[in-house]
Amino acid sequence: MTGSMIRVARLWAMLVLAPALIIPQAGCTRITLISSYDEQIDHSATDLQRRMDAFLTMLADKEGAPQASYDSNKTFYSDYAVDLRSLKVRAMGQPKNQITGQQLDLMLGSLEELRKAHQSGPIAADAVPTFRDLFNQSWGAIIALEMAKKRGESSADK
Amino acid sequence: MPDLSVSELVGDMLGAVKQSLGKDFGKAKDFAKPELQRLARSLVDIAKLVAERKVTQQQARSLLEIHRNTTKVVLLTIQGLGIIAVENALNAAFDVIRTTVNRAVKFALI
Repeated sequence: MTGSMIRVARLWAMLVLAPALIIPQAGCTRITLISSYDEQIDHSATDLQRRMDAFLTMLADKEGAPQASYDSNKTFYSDYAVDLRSLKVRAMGQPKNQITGQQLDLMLGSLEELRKAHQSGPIAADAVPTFRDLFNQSWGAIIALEMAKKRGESSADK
Repeated sequence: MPDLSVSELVGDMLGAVKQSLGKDFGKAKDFAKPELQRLARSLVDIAKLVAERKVTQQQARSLLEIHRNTTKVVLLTIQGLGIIAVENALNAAFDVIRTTVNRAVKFALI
């Protein structure tokens, strides 16, 4: 077989195979305006919610005890901030995920406010439920959006 | 090739968009109402803590700031649910076009 015949055969093969390759892709075309669901963000957000809830519950349980003082818990704030920033880096690595990125920035702001509140004096057990409800509500909203990103499934069904 | 009716196609697309938006915006509304009620209750709790002097001035300021951040987080989720609703509506309209056109040309053109 000459070189030109091989080239012609290749061209025919490409012409025959191209529709088979292209049409299924065309059939799957879907417009996306927001990032896709990320299981890691879902799990990490759930873990951060649980850790904050446990921390604030400990502050209420140990009210007045050294274990609830700011000095005894400084590392909690820095460790939590590291995990939040890490989650934000992951979120921002996904296209069309600015909303989740903004939400995680707001969580960093809330963490800093909690740190300042704690540094200013012991947090009374009576005040803990309000702090805890606000953090739980924020994490709940972030998780609700992540779940809604599961295309073709209803977040309300979860 | 059979005739493609623009008015029928537009009607079908609008029907698909309306049905999709109706379903998804309902979900956003279902999410928003209890969350906004919860935020209102938290604000009342903060006012009570301040009135009863259960928190320092800094803690009161921080609580209000955290409340403001939480409100923004909730509103961003509502915005995201709205974007997903629009996305689903666009895809529902696109599905109508795809089905109608592919049926008319008798192969998977789009």
